[in-house]
Amino acid sequence: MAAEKNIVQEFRKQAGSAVELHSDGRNRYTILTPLAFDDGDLFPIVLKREGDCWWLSDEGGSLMHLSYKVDEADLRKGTRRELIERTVEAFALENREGELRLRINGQGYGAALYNFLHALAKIDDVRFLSHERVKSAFAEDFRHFVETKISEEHRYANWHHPQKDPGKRYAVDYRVNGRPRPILLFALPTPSKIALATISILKLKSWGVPGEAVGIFENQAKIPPQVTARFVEESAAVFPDLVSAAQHLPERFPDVVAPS
Amino acid sequence: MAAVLLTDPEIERLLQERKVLPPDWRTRLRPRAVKKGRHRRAWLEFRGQDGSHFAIAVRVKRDDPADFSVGLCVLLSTGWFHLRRYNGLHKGGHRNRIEGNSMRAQHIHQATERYQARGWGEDAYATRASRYGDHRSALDCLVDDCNFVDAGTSAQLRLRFA
Repeated sequence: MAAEKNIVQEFRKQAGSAVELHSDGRNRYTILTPLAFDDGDLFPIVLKREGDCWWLSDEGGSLMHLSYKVDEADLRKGTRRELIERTVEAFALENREGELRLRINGQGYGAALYNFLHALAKIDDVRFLSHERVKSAFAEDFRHFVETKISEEHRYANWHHPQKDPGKRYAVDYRVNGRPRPILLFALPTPSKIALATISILKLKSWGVPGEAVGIFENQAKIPPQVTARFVEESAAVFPDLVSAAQHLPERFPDVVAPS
Repeated sequence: MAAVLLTDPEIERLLQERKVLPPDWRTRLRPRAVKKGRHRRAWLEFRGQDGSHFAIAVRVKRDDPADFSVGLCVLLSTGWFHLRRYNGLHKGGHRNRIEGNSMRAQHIHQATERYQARGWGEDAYATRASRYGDHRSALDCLVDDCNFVDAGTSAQLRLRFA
């Protein structure tokens, strides 16, 4: 008990007056700091003893909070997962099935706390990838969207006409069968990709290949209007972003696209 | 001044838009374990009477059921916008940055125009809550407060979990 009291006193001394400790049971304290998430909820931090060691832990609160803005499945793959894993490693944290924790070594309580806070803040920044639409994140989000909305038996990734285009120069991101006219689905992140997609559509039309060309922009507002206009002229439907596609693609093609 | 996605009158209109829940909504909102996570979650999307696309999101900490969040979102072109969120007791509590007050208690996050204008989360304003004790009763409060109707009835339904 004396040892615990000493540790707490030392922690308060090193962490500074802006940090409060509140007893939360035996060998356990809630730590209040000035740092908060974007919604005003303070970072969830507990100082607790397990065995012979003291730990700082969020007890799963950070990733739960992050899931308010980003789907849990999206946190477990691609760019977001890499960012979280890199941060955990860089700050010497442990990720124990969703609990982020840091073992306090020696007497460095203050340094450990600020290290931990910094790591939690960086991990929370992953939420802004949803708004910035990082290029690699869009490609993963597009693939995830198609795989969850269109059954495997109907979709063909990176499709090309086997006889007319053996060199795959006019490939389509997804060809969707299961209907009288297949859907030729294109992801549209950049002006160059949109231009290539337009050329592919024109070539497929010139060969008499049947299909309805559909495009989903990463963010249509960022694309020069003339680039968009050329694609729109040759396509059956376009959606300004994935959110709009999630809402309206099932309405447009209810025969092969699952509703929200 | 940061972008304001919804003004206060628009927020209020969405909260009061009649919302019809599907017949099996209680089952679908029962939280289930998250892979490699310390919480359970549930998610339900549905349409309002005016065509708005809503969702209810439930999160409950696996080892601490008093730490939960039950929220109502609306889908905008920019993504999900949090209209209201009924929180349980989570470590740390909450601080209202504009008003300057803090609370370590259950609290209800509410979307406001003023917090959006300052560049903070749309639901960064919260008030202390004492009407619920767990995520089920928090869900009751959400349904009571935000004009929900069960698909099988025409009257507004007052729900209570056993």
